Amino acid sequence: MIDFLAVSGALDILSSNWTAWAVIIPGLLLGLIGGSMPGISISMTMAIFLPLTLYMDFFSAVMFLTAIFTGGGFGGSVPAVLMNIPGTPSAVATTFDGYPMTQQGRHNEALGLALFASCIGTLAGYVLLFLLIEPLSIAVLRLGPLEMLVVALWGLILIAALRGRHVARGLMAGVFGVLMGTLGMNDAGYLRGTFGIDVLLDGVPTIPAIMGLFVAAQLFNLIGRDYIVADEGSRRMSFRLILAGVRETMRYPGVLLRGSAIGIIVGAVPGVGSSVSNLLSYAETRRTDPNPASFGTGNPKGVVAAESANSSSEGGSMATLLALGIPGGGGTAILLAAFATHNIVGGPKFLADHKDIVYAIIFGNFIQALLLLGIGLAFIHVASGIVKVPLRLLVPSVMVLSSFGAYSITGNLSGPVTLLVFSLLGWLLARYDYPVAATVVGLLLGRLVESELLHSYQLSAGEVSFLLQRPVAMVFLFLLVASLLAPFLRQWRGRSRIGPATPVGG
Amino acid sequence: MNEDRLVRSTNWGHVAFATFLLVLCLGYLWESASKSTDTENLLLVLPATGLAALLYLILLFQELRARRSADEAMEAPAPFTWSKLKTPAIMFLFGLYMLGLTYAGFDIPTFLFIAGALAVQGERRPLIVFGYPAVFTVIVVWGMQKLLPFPIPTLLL
Repeated sequence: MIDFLAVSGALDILSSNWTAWAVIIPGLLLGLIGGSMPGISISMTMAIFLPLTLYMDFFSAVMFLTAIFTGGGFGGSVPAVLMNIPGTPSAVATTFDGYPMTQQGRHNEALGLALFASCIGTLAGYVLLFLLIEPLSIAVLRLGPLEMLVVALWGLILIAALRGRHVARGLMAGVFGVLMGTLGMNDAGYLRGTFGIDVLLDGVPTIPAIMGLFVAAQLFNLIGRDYIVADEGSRRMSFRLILAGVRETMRYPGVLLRGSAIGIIVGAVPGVGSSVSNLLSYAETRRTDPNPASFGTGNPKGVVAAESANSSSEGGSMATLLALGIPGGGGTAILLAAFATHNIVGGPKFLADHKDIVYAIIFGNFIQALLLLGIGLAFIHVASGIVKVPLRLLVPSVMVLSSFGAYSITGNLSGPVTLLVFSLLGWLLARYDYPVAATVVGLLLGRLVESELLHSYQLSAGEVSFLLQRPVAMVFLFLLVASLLAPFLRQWRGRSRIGPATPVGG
Repeated sequence: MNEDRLVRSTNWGHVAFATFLLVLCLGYLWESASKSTDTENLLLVLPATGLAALLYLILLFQELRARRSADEAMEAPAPFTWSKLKTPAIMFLFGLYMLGLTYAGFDIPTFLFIAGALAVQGERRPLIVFGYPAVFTVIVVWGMQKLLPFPIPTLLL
């Protein structure tokens, strides 16, 4: 299972390439900064710095970009915990309990929990990648379009089911997102939903739309307040309390392991990735907890579940990228672009011919995960300064940064205009208690869902009995139906059982 | 609070928003169907819109059946304050900002948007209202000009 000759070659590469070592810390810092700035996603930070990798050798370029990836994985949790704004879509579930902890003045512990869970998640992801890269590549190869379709829909249903009180609103938000995600030309060559707007020929510009839904919509809700945390004492950063959060993470080994495992598996499925894995892990942790009602009120397990899953997804998505040459999401797509700029094609042949480089990438990421702990601790003090900035300065500044970010993605004004339209939509969704995350994930997966549905339809010739020949798809379908029914069963059980919920850390 | 006496409490704003979402979905279906009624064109759009319509009916039913206590319904609405207009005012400024980007590039509209947003939020110190937006605009425009491989439209910088 492990090629020790290639491992030895990997150690040679690592010991002889000083550039690869030199770019790790700057890469981590850029990832932390990019991830912690709402609207500046990890993939956007990687895209901005992609041209720099042209001046590096292939291995250093991959190290630099994966360092941004790793740093961003934790960076996104900083505004999620402090401002209820996920810095990246993969930190959505971190807000559910991270922000309530901040409101209770426990933001130091929440950041410590998020940092250590991220480090462990990243490490776990790459350890498993090291052990399982070959069998995993075979398993992912066996997922057909029908399985991919059901997995994507399952992810969406779970997001709706997370909001047990308003399942219909969650589903409506998800369906609307999926439809928005399919505007433009589909895989069968049909062009629709453009309403005469040329920019929509390639579909809704996804990143500006997500920035609008999450960033501006959240900022609109902050208007009228002086500070993110009203109590000045609660805005103080404490190294001791952050370390206490780090230590507290070790009290939940089961949550850490489960989150890491979910992150790796989901991260390995192309197109789903960390934006779904953090929600899945959160939902699963809440479902299996003896006190599920405590989630959403500042339960540390919620933060650990979300952060361990989104960080370990990196290892999973790297498995698909290295083994199959398929990017699991935006971050790995940029990595694939870096491969191309160095005339390297990822996939089975790359894995077979350059196993030493693959192992060197994995070992390099072990080091990144360890360095993240030290750099992350120092960075929290800087990044957490945002809670001390008066909101009247922060709100317009972040809106402007988001507009510039949207422009940098599209290269024209369609980005900022998309940002505006979706920020208004996001504000309305939040105002009427629709889960914005469901629309965002729908938007991200819309194209994938339609494309896999089309391929399944073509393969099955429209015969429903095709499903019976796909046992893996049937298992996922069963999980999908169970997830859909779970909130109703929970409501029914709740009615038949009397007893108040016990909030954690209240 | 008398919880036995319940009165209707429909949130018409929510009904209007749900209707807006459904109209967008139906508009998309209509536009798609007008291009082609082939299965491969409508394979996802048609059932997804159907599901949206079904969910809309459920939401409408829930909203029309919504009840709250009579005491709560009798409570006087919160008095109007100018601070309630801050959010719509900044949303309006953000819209104007986007319009400004189209005609004047990124520098002047960015300065004006931040200055306007600060003023709307109650900032009155001239150094903050004019100084902060000027410094912020220069730094961000300069930084993005250095970072991006394509030009950023500006008027002065």
